[in-house]
Amino acid sequence: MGMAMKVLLVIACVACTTKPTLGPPTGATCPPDSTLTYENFGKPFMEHYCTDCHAITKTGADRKGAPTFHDFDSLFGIKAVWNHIDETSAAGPNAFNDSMPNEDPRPSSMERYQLGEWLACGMPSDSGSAAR
Amino acid sequence: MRVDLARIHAAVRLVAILAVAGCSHSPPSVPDSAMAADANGIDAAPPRQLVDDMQPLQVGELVEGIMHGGSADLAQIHLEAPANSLSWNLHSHQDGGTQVVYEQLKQTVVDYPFRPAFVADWYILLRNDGLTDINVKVQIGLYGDMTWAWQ
Repeated sequence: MGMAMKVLLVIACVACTTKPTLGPPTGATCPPDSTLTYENFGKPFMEHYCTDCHAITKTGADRKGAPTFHDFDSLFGIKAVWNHIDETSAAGPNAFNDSMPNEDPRPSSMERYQLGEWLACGMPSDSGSAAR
Repeated sequence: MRVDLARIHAAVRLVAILAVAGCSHSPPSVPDSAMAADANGIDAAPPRQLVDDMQPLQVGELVEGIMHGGSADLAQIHLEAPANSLSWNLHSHQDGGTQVVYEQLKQTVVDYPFRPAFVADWYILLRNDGLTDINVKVQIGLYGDMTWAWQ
């Protein structure tokens, strides 16, 4: 096999294995005894793993490619696109989505399952639905 | 006196057309650019469906709507806020990524004719960037096979 053909095969394989950002819905469900809230899980999760890029205060290159209007520094911002958060970062019975964050620090597997659970529970907040 | 039946019938048809037009729900205004961009005149006619909602938005709140359509379809987007505090974004998620089609910050009135380049889901995000809660008038005229749903 010629060198050119090998190079082409390597390129093709790399292209085939590039994961899209959005994966399938996790199918996570909300257990009746769930204790996850925005305050004890959602907010610290987002602040630790997401808002370095996905924040309304970040603009231009500081967003590191994060699309505009996809800001997770408020519960409003999370709720607006929660399904895409599920498809990029959460885990559940149907999928383990880990395309985001795309740099360290990254959540543990348990945290991704917890994220799926909190999203499936409707993103409850101790202070009601309007937490900011 | 001779009666011109043809003229009477034409007049009756005209009155009927005007009456029907007056009774129907008026679609959002169509900016000139939409007409210019619309070579086949699809938006010269009333939309197949008119989304006509009043969407409350708390300070900082976002809501998302999803359209589905392709190049043969059109969405005539009309948004009105009580002050220049409405920011909005139109994007898609092709190939698992995010592609912004158009966005504007802190608008009072938006008129945007959207004809997709290809068949896909198209996402509209509305955000209140003001200092007070607002109600946003959302009127979206759907042409062709374009569909709409709130997230």
